[in-house]
Amino acid sequence: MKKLNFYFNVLFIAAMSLTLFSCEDEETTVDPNPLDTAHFDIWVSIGGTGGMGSENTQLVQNTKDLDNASTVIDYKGTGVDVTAKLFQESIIKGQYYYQIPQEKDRFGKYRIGTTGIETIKEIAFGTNTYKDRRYAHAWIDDNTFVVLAANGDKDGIIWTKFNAADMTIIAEGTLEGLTDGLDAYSTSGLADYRASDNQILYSYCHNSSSKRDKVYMAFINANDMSVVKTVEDNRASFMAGTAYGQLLQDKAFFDENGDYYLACNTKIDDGNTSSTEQYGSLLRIKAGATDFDQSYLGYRTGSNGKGKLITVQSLESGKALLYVQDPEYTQAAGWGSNYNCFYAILDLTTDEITVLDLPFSEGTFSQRSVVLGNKAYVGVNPENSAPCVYVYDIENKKLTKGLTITEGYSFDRIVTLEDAK
Amino acid sequence: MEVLRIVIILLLCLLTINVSAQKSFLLSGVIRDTSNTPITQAMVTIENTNIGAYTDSNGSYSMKVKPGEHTISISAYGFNLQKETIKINNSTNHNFTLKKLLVDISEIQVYGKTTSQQLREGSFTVNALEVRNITSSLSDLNNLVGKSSGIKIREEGGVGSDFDLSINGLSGNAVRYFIDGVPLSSMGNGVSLANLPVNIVDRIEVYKGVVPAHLGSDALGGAINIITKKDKQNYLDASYGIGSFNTHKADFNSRYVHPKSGLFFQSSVGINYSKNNYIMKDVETRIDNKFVTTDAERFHDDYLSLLTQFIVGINNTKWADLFSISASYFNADKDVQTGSNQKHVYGMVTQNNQTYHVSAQYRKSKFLTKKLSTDIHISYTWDYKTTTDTAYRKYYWDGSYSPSQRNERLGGAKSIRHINTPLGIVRGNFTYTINNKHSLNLNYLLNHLTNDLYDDLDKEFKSSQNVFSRHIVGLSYNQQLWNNKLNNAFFIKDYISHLEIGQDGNYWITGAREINQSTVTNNYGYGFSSRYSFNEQIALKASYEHTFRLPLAEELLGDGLNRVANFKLKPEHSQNYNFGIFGTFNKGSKHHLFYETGLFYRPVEDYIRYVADINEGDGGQYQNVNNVTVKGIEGELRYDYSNTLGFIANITYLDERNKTKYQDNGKPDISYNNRIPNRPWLFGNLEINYRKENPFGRRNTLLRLSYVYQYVHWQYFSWQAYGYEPGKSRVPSQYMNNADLTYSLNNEKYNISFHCKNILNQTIYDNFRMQKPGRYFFLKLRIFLN
Repeated sequence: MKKLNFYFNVLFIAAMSLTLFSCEDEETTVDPNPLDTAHFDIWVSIGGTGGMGSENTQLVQNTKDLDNASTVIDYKGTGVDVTAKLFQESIIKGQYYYQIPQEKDRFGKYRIGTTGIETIKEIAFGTNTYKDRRYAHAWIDDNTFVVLAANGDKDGIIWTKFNAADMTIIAEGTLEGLTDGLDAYSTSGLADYRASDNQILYSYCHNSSSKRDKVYMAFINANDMSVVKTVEDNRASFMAGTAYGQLLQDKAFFDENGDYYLACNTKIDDGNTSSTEQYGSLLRIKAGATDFDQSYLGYRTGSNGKGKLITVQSLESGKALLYVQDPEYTQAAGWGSNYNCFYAILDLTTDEITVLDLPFSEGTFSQRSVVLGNKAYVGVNPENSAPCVYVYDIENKKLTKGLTITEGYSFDRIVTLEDAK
Repeated sequence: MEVLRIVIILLLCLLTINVSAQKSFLLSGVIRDTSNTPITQAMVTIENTNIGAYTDSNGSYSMKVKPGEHTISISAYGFNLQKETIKINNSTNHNFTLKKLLVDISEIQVYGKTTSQQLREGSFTVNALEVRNITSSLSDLNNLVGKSSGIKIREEGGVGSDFDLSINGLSGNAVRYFIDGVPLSSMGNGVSLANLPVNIVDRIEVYKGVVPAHLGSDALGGAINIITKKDKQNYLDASYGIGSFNTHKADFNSRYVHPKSGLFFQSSVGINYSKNNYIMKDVETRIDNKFVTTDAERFHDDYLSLLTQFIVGINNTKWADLFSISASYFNADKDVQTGSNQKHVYGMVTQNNQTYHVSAQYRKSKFLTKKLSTDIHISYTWDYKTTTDTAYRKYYWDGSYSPSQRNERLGGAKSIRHINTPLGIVRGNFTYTINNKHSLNLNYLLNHLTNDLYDDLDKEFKSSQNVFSRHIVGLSYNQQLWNNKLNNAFFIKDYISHLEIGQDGNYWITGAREINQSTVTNNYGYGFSSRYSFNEQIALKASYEHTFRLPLAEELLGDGLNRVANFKLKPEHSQNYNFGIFGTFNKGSKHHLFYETGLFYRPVEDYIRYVADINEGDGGQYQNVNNVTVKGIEGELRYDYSNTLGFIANITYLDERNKTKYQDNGKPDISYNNRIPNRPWLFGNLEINYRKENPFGRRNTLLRLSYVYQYVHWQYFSWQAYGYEPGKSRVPSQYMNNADLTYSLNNEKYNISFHCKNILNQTIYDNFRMQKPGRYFFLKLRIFLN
């Protein structure tokens, strides 16, 4: 959803322009091309995934050519090697990456160009200190974001509010007023900002995987970070991400109606399964509401109800794009096997699942799909061909093949960013 | 290929060296000591010529000599130099008798072959490093080993810092350490080349790739065997050194031998202390919430280690050549200044190692039968390691800190983490001498440990206890043929490991439920080493080993900090090939040139590497991740002029490639056949030594000057071929200049040495962003009484 903010901005400006333009000629309504002012960063790594603290070499290359099926990108002698400085897990908005970098003692604002990393500004932690890659974040406005995470003892949730423009700390503290009764909080939760009532929705769970049996949601006043209300829902055991927020993967979104959808998972408990074997579900908080919508449980019918939700993104029009791990549906050997993931469209109203006609893909620590304009760019890493991107036309529901990445890299992430001005 | 071509040309050139066949007579004979025992490797030379020979294992020598009167010079290690003039008119048999030196042999340098040189000229590829002769000037053993051919030591900081030693490119756990043939870990996991007292060491043997079976090693890259002094005489050796950055080192070693009974008592103590408060250049610190670059003094890097050992034993009785009982205690307190990157600054994290160790050794020749000799060692070690990380602070390089919500190292709750590792070792070595040319050796090594992990404070940490045993059996057959021109060793090894799993936490990550609770693995290795000596100037050696390395306890069982257990870990294995050529040129008794060059090839499979966790939480685990091939060439030249001026130069070139064709997901790996990044691949050392006896007209004094230049070529931090090249991070080239000056009085009874390391005060990194000390001075005083 965060990445869509940019699109909304672009769309808003475009709409305003069109309004003005329409005064002259109402028959000419050309959709602006978001890529006129934006580009994609494609993250790959060598020797395995680059995220989650991996020490593998990470490379980033800018491109606008995701749509072009004849484009093949390689990183030999090109792209930026960010291994020594940046993590793949990052807050991304506008032209910039915001993150705790490899130094682990600061927050920084960075731009990745074609030849290197530009450090815009770095600031030391204030009173609150965070662990690299393990924090949640929410944008309150274009220039303000807040990060949240459990403290080292896991007995409190700390937060820091930043001015993104000049990278200064606006305020920081510890959440007060949580009524969950938990004795240990998950390393990080998932956070999103709801503009309608100026509240941050922060979901979290118990820190111990064996004690996770419900999802908690704190409604936080974004002005003073006071907890307005704490609610819980035991229809799922935990959120789809419990440590890394949404720094790498999208786990929650607002739809066009302002309803908030939260991806959750529950351990498949047949007595002898690992905690990574899970089935997913979507919980909803209606626009303006301060509790889970008990009338809704999404992703009930998908893939025999056993698939684990890896990423979820809004496609608008009542649809969501899901990336699901399910060895049963993909007929893989098991949860630890490769190529046991697939993409699907979920109808948020009917809960109908439409599996996209794409090869099964490998990798559960990746975010290879982005939504930009009326297209969803869906990256796959299939077993029998080179990793590539498919372009899904949201309106026409058509898939066409796009850019290909030279075989041999671990295809980790697609990011949309504004072009440098 | 270019390198190979040069080697072949060099080989051909050396092969064309031809001894002229003028009319001459054969001079032969036997060199014996005063007890009529043949002396091997004694050097017999004709003065003012370049004619000479070494005695074989029977003490015999022979050489062709022109008719006339000649002065024959005979020298052997540990014996007085002897000269005799004889007239040669026809083939002559002439025997010589040498007298043993009455003083410590370390005080005299002769041109007879030392044990080290004999080892170098053996069939294994080995660096044999004499310590005894340079004890007075040596501050620690790493300094010596690190400048030898094919070896690279990468240190993370100053005294007591972690270091990684590589032999021909393979490093870390691929290299095994021994002390007198017994795993060094028996003295404690914290005992290393860096803190072992220098004056207990006689020499160091560095086996490259192929390791003799008698070491009982499962090393992949090679093994380092530290040989301690075993002089059968009374002595007291004490030294104290003081150096930059508040460094103090004291070593004490003494031995008393009761002449009638053969009883001996030996005690040794080694103390190392340093504040390591050297200046870090261009590091970042915080001012008003911003980062500024500055120079800053390290402020939390104190290191104090104490190693004491007491040995009581008896020599040369009817029932034992040697029987001894030993007890040792090791303690090290270490402040942890940084993480794996110098930008991760800690101010309160500490580590403590404590080890108690007892052992017994029994050695006997003519054991049960006349031709069988045995060496049996039994030891038990209590090893305790504690890491304390309880400060909720974030430190900066200027020593300031800000309050934090988490501990420094792991970013979690307060932690006092314990790893207790009781370790039992049994080594039995049996040699059966068939005759003076053939022998068999059987070696058995048992390594049995328990790994007990727990935390005093961190409630989230799950305690565990696992048991792990390793058995390594080696059988070798050694032969010396054709008047010792051909020397062969053939060996087989059996590597057995036994694991008992006592933990179930994170079983889906550790694999605890995927293998039996009690698991035994068995692997066989084999190899040979061979040396053929054409003449003194040229000899060829070749060796091969199919070797396995069993996972270490830490790799298999985790370390309780950020290494998670992996019970499915397989042994890594490789085929190690060595080929070498060496020889010595002597011109008269003054000029001596030794050369050695070697090619090596190491295809490694199932390489065990640390892989960061891709699941939630901290750390990662060791996994069999990839295949690697290392090939390279190394060469060394040693020149000595009249025991006064010496040069040693060596250079090593490595080509370490990723040979993993496919990623874990079955897809091709783009880095296949690329050079492995962040590894030194071109490095060399140049050493110049000057030695002057009785300088300044003072008798029984000795002056030694030494200069060492060390070079390491720069390397990429990550894969070279990928990404925009100018923007890639590099570990820069290193140029280090060191110098030593040692002055000895009264036949080296009293010694003073002055050492300066990194004379030009350059910023030196062995690892990416891990700065080492700048210019460093060290003054050492040593008394040796015997």
